Amino acid sequence: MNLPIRLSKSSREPIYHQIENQIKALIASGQLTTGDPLPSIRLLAKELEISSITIRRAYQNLEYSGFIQTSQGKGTFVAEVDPDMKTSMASQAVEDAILKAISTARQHELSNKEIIRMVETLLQKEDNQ
Amino acid sequence: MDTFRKALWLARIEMDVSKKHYLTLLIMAGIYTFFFYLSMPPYLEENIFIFDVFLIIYLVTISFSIKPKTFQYQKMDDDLYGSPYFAMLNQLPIKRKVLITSRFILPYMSIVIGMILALTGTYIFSPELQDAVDPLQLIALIVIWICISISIGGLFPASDPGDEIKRFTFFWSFASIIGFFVGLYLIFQVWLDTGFFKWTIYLANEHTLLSIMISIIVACLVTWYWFRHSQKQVKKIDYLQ
Amino acid sequence: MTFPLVIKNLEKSIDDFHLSIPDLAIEEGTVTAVVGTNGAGKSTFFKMMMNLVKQDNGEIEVYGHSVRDVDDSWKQQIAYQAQTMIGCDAFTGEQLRNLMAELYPSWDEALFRRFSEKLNIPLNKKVQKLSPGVKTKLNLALNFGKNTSILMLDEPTAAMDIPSRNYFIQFLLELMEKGDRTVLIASHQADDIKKLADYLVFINKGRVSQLLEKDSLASSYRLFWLKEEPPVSRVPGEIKRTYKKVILSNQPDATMTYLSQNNLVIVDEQIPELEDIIQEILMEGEMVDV
Repeated sequence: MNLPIRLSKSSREPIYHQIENQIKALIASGQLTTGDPLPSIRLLAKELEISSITIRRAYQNLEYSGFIQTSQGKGTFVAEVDPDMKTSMASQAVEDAILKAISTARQHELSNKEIIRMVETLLQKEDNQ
Repeated sequence: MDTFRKALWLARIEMDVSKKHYLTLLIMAGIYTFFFYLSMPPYLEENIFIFDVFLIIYLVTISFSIKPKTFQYQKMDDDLYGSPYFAMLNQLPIKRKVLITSRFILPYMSIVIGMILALTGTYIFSPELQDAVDPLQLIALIVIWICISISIGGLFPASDPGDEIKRFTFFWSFASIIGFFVGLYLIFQVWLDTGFFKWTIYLANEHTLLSIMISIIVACLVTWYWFRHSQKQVKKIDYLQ
Repeated sequence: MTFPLVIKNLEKSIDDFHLSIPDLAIEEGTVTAVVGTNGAGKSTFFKMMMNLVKQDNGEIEVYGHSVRDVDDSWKQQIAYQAQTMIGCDAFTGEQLRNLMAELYPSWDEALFRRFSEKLNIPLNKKVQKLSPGVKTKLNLALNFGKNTSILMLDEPTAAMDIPSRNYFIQFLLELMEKGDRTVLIASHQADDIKKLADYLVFINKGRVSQLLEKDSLASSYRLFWLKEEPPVSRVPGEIKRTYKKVILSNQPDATMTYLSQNNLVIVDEQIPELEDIIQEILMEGEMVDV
């Protein structure tokens, strides 16, 4: 039942937003598929050590945009999600990760060229393996 | 009636855990009976005051000592003396009237049992007392003493809700106990030239029915006063402990 | 939205201690942690809710009924656990169970049994023979058994071992699942607060804060690691500075604006730990209004 959700304390992104995005990413990547149960609001609040109000907000947003479904008395489940939406979400997730890397690089005062060179080297390493 | 039924239920729970202590009641009744039996002849002749004092000590002890420590009146925090058991029950959904009524049941029961045991016991063993009272009048005497005990002993269940202890509270309590005995001495020994118990023997003999009626009325009125006092205390006291 | 507990402008003076509580409405289905130092007035606050300590001014309502009414049937809706278990010494757990089962119409035998069996509470031993930790466990078992819609727990986990405390948290969360239960808990355990609480209420020297949502409270603070020491002794929003370059702010936006205007580089930043925020609020006496 444990969801691999990691909240970032350093991010400026509100916590409920982080939860929303990570659950979306789990659905997009196929780690969560249609019909999978999600933990109850209380349980997730305890696991993540945040208030149930925040989780409820994230769940409500996810339900509103059609990612999850709540049925009375049974719990919350992953809804049927349009494959196109999954693809666009996947690229969104990659984009976010790269953006984060860029901001770290900026903190270390790397230039654009240096960043690109680094990415190329890493890609080559990946291919060789 | 519902109040009394619920109060009785609470008292029974209390009785379940204080069974052992009723043995103390029997032992105490035995010891005091023996003492009363021994001192009856000199008392009836010379009004020795100490007999009255012991009789009153007896009625007071039976009304409060027949219960486990946690039920008894004790220091609860810096300013509050009361029964921790009462404080616990006060946190639960029990109507105040039921709660307070329940506190009186067991002490009153002990008084009735304790008085009947001690007085009939003394009567059986003491030919001097038999000479002084006829069996029928003995009933009146027992009723009078049960009523006196209830009026005085009602103080104990009435203080279960607690009292806020101020600087001179102990001094005044002590002073009133001394005052009570001095008053008793002055009224009976000095003024009427008799003993308290001896005076009740006279009442039982001469005004049997009237004394029964008056003592029952007095006991009821005093109990009502104690009940009101309890209610007032629960309403007023801050249970910080 | 239902508010099972509503407090309106409560005041109470005991000797030279003064407790005042502004308007406070506790929402149904939530857990509110009451946080304060020892002697700040937490227990007095709870006892006033139970009408054990009488208010000087104001009003307390339980499901709309004033606690001062002659009709005190509201007490059946609340399971209250005081810090110490008094007046029970002569009883065994089973005897206390009989008392509670009769007094609370909502009594749930299964809940009581499950909790006491899991924690191995000896129900046939007299309470006076139990250790403080086991006493607390028995007290909790009884209060869970009451199965009331409001639970008021005054430092319930103080003397408990770690596995039992975790089980307590899990058990309480399970009870909360239905969503119609309301919990008020006073605790010094950061873990209880982090895992259970939705809202926090601070009590500081008799003054009671508003209801603060836990995550909004946390995100209203921010810790900044700077590249170099700021040239001023206090930047906007700063409430604490450590190692010359680490700044704790309770107005993150104002702090960030100042830092970027003055070209001060932020190396890292994060929401501080809840413990640190509580520490600031309780030690510095800084009352937050979020």
